[in-house]
Amino acid sequence: MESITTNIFSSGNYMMSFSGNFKKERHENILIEIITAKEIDFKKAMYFKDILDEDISEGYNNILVDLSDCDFIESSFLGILVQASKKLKINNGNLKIIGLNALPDNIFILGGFTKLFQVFKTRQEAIQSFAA
Amino acid sequence: MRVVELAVNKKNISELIVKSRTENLSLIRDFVSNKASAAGLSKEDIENIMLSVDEACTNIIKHAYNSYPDGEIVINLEFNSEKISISIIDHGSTFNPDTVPDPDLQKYYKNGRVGGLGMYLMKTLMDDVKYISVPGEYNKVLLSKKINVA
Repeated sequence: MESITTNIFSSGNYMMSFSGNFKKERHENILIEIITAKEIDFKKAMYFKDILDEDISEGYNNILVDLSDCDFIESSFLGILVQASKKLKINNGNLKIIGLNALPDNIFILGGFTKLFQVFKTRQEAIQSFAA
Repeated sequence: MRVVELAVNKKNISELIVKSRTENLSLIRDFVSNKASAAGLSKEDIENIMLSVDEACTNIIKHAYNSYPDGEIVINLEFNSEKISISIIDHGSTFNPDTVPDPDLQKYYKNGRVGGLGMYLMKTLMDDVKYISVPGEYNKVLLSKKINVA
């Protein structure tokens, strides 16, 4: 089981200011995007959009977004997940979610987003689901 | 930032005035969270209200003020034993919410859009959402929710 942790970096100052809020790990052919920020507002969400676009252009088809550390997400973040998920489906890939805390979980359920994304409680469950 | 608090006719009224900057969104969330806690709302209701106000203010920053950082946002929050009501006023560009249809999530998914979910979430999470726009003067978002005591 291979697991590599890298820090995201960018050359732009604007981008650099948000880089501490995200971290990525790789597990075989699955890229795990870990949201380390407690709160995701629309600026951080737009930064994360660039990260996901880059992941997809690098050829990652299976992306797992880990929200375990995050207590607050804004709607533009949901829109970005929806858009990335759609791009991945075109390549027979998938975007899945783990670690929904109380508020994000509530938004996913009330907003109907559980119909668009598979949500798992643990990383192990999510990783196994990609293989299924 | 300015905060005013009053108690009138068994209603608790609080007001927060901030500049239209994203760094003020956490201030706004804290203000709403503290006042909604004092109203005796459940944790879930508090979080839903907090998100709805955040969405409304984000829309104001992005669209009404077009990211201009020195616009004014006035948040009035009042509650009695039955209901919590929040009004959010800005003096930015006029916004007509009727031009933004409620998204059908499946269509939204197919279209691959990023924005447009904020109002959908507000309408989903609150009991009532209203917009009043007086061109050249102000825009007002009114949010309300019945109080189910925690």
